[in-house]
Amino acid sequence: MNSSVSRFSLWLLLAPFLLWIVLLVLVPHLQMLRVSFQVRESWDTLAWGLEQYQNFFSESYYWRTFVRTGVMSLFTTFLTLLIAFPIAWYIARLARGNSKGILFLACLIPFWASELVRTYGWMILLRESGLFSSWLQALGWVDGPVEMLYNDVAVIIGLVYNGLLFMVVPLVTTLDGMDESLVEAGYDLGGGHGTVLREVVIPWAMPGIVSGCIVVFMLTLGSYLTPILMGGKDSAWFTQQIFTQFITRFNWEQGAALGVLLLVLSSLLVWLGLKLTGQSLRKVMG
Amino acid sequence: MNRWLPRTYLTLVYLLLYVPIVVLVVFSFNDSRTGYEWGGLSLRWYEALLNNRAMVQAMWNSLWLALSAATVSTLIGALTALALHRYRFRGKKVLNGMLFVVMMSPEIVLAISLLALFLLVGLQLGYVSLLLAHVTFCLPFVVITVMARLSGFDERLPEAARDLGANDFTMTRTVLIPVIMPALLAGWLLGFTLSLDDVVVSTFVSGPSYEILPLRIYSMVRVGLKPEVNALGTLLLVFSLVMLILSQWILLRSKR
Repeated sequence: MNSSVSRFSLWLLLAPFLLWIVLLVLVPHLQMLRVSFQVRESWDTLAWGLEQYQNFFSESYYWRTFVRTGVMSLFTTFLTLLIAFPIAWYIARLARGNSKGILFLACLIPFWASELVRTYGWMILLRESGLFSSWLQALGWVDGPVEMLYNDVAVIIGLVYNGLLFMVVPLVTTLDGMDESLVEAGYDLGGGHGTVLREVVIPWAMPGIVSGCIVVFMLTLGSYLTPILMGGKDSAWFTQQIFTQFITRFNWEQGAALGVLLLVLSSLLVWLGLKLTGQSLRKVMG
Repeated sequence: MNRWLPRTYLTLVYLLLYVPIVVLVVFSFNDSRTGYEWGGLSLRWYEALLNNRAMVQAMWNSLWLALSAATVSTLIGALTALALHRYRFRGKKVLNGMLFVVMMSPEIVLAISLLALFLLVGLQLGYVSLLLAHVTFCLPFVVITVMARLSGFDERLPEAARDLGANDFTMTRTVLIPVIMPALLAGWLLGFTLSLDDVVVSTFVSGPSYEILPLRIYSMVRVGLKPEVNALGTLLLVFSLVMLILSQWILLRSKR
């Protein structure tokens, strides 16, 4: 094929996508960046300045919420990994034949329900007049109705539930490719369960672990519905502050700055995680 | 113990995976208003939904939006995936990386940046703004899904067809389309579901002129728990599952 013709058809194929990304991703993000550096001096005059960013660091409410969101997201990610690893191990290495496919599919199906529907399901279970509360009362373990919703534990339950699939899939993929003889060799050389897990299995599964953790962490940090529905109005998730500034207070300059900070700080945390585990993004994301 | 411990654990986790969804579905048929007592089988919440004109309108709006968003993003996404699959070019890695960045970045950031843009250019919030926003967050997912399906495609097939005397049109119709159709279908379906389920981005870029279902459910859930929501959630769930099964069925048929 003529190379200039093929070049032309390549551009033709890519043009709609590039146009879309530039107009609806790049331009709006740059615009958001620009707004975040503006300071409102009076109702109709704007000046350039760093005030919105200074606010983030000087007003403890902002950065405290961010730190809280970050710490809770890290904890959620770690918990999701702990819960997902044995499941992935079972699906990838212990299940045989048909049951392997069925178990994997059974793990996927709940995630075809939307986040809203799934979270609502948990609300039915956990609220004061909900099922768990009435079961506990029927068992005689508690005297009156118990409110299990609107606290940090409920938020973490919801977030782990939402993240589970995104941890299981990359783990199954990497564990599936591990050679059984590798594990056997570990035992033959005198390693116990703990040693084999630490020295053989985890190093092998590292790309899957890191990729699952990155996805779950980003999903959790940026989630909006689950913290507000399961944690109530005072759950103090960082995304809620962006919403408040943008919609409730109509303070776009501050909202845009918080949005930029969320993007920058979360990328920084992911980069730090990659450095600490000695992985590269290319290797992890394929 | 060595045999039973893993099985017990697995059963427990899978139980927890399904309990919230099963409870939602079961209680949507509950005649009682409370969320813990069983008052007998009833379809009253579904009836209440269907008699609510605003709700039915929102349902149609949502379906139409998801249909159009999935179609537009599949059209654009398919061309992109073909380009990424077929050609080597400078900037390909950058493009691949960009797909991941857009996919991973928090929804709320995309939402506020789009809202600011729409208001700046004076676009009225409604169907058009929703469509633009939905296609934007669907696109990377569609491109990656289609690309993953294409990776198994043998590049020699179109050449063989040409050697056998097929012109471009015949080759496209008889070789290319049947091969990439399952890939397109998978991408379209994902786009449809993503669009139908979205709350966060839609909260920002929708206007009163075009009400959609997830936002109505969201506002109902926020003010209190209503049994109608169980019925709505069940309907959404059944709809997603039917789409999933339908697409799997089409995929299986096309393989034969």
